[in-house]
Amino acid sequence: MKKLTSLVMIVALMGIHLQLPSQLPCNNYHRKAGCSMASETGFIYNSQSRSGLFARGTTSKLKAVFYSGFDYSITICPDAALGSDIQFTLSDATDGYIIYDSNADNKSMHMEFSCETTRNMIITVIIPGGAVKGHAQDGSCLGILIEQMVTPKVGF
Amino acid sequence: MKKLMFHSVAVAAVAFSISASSCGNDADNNTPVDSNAADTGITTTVNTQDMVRVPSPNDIFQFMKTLGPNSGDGNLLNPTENEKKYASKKSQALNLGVYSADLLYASTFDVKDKVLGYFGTAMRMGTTLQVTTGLSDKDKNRISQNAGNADSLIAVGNDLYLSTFSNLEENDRGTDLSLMLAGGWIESMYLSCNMVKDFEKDKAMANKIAEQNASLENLVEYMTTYESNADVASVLQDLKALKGLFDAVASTAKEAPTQEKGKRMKIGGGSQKEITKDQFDAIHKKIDEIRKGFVESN
Repeated sequence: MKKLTSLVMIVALMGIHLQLPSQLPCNNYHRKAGCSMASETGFIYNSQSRSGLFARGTTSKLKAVFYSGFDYSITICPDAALGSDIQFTLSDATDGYIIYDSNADNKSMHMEFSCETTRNMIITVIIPGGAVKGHAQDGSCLGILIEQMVTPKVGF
Repeated sequence: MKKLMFHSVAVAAVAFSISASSCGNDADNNTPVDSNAADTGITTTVNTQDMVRVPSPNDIFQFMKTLGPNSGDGNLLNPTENEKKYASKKSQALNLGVYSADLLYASTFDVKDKVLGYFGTAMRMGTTLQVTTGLSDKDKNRISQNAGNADSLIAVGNDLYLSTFSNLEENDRGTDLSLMLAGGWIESMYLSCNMVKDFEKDKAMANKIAEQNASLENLVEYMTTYESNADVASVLQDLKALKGLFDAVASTAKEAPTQEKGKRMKIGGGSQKEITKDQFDAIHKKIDEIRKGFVESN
């Protein structure tokens, strides 16, 4: 009887799904200190920012809304294990036209812009394949931090 | 020896159940990864999980606020007393979004006397839905201590919304998150539409509402991932009907080129919305109808 009860408990344990508070290791990686490269104070966090687990040789896209009348700062924050040759682009979500390519900007991990009109745009992060010296090839965290501020008025 | 083996099996069973539940359980959200992406030094366009994002109620209100409405109307908000009647998971998730938007509206548009009440309601709705956030009743003190400081009140409301969002996302509760996003978006739009008092005088604001077609597009795209769920499907049907009204609004292509201006690029192009009164009225009416369905559901 004792053994039967114990067996039932084992089976029951295998059926339980325990909800752990944080099942993703990279949660909020983009909010870590030192991620933001915004050029001035006044930029505030935009909720469309995102972090994820990436590996060498992967590409990921984030589609977000950018409003007219706002200035935006986009910073890519990768873990060192992902290397320093990461590329990111900003493209129009409707026709795929590439508006910005970090490869043409000294492989910068940051850019700022304002929009004439409200539109959806896609941030694409491209991590080349190949090992990074001194690092294992496991997945590592990368954050896409989007910040915004009302476009400053100029003139009188 | 038999006892030792038995205990080992028991420990293994516990370890298995924990690790099994740690893995994502929402198959809808994952795209396959090419396991042949090897260390050749050549970039392979292997897709990881692509993401579509929806602006939060705070993002939407900050956008509307640029045209000047400084104060809001607390009478427009979903009464906190309605909280008691939300028995189904669907109505709870929808109205978690609604109340989160109400909290942010109250914080942003100077309806200070409502902030504490809506904070409590949004917290309780989250608890009912078994959402773990880093916030507690102690954060109510932040509200009381910062009653005159709009930025601090917005920060508290934002912290609650974002931590709720994160918790649902981390735990692969895409269905609940879809409904919360829908509730928050519709409530934000309902409150924004009510900022247009006179169409001709407030036409710029009406056009800003028309521009939210972009965020609705993303919301529909996100929710489509979970449309196998009947609750999500029913809400999605309403949102797609609304999308049709938004899509009918004419837009004019903007030819201004993209320019580099110092450190900040000015991105030209895109299109400018030009909404008519009839179109605005139709959109407003549909949003009211959807919102009524959310807040009166049980």
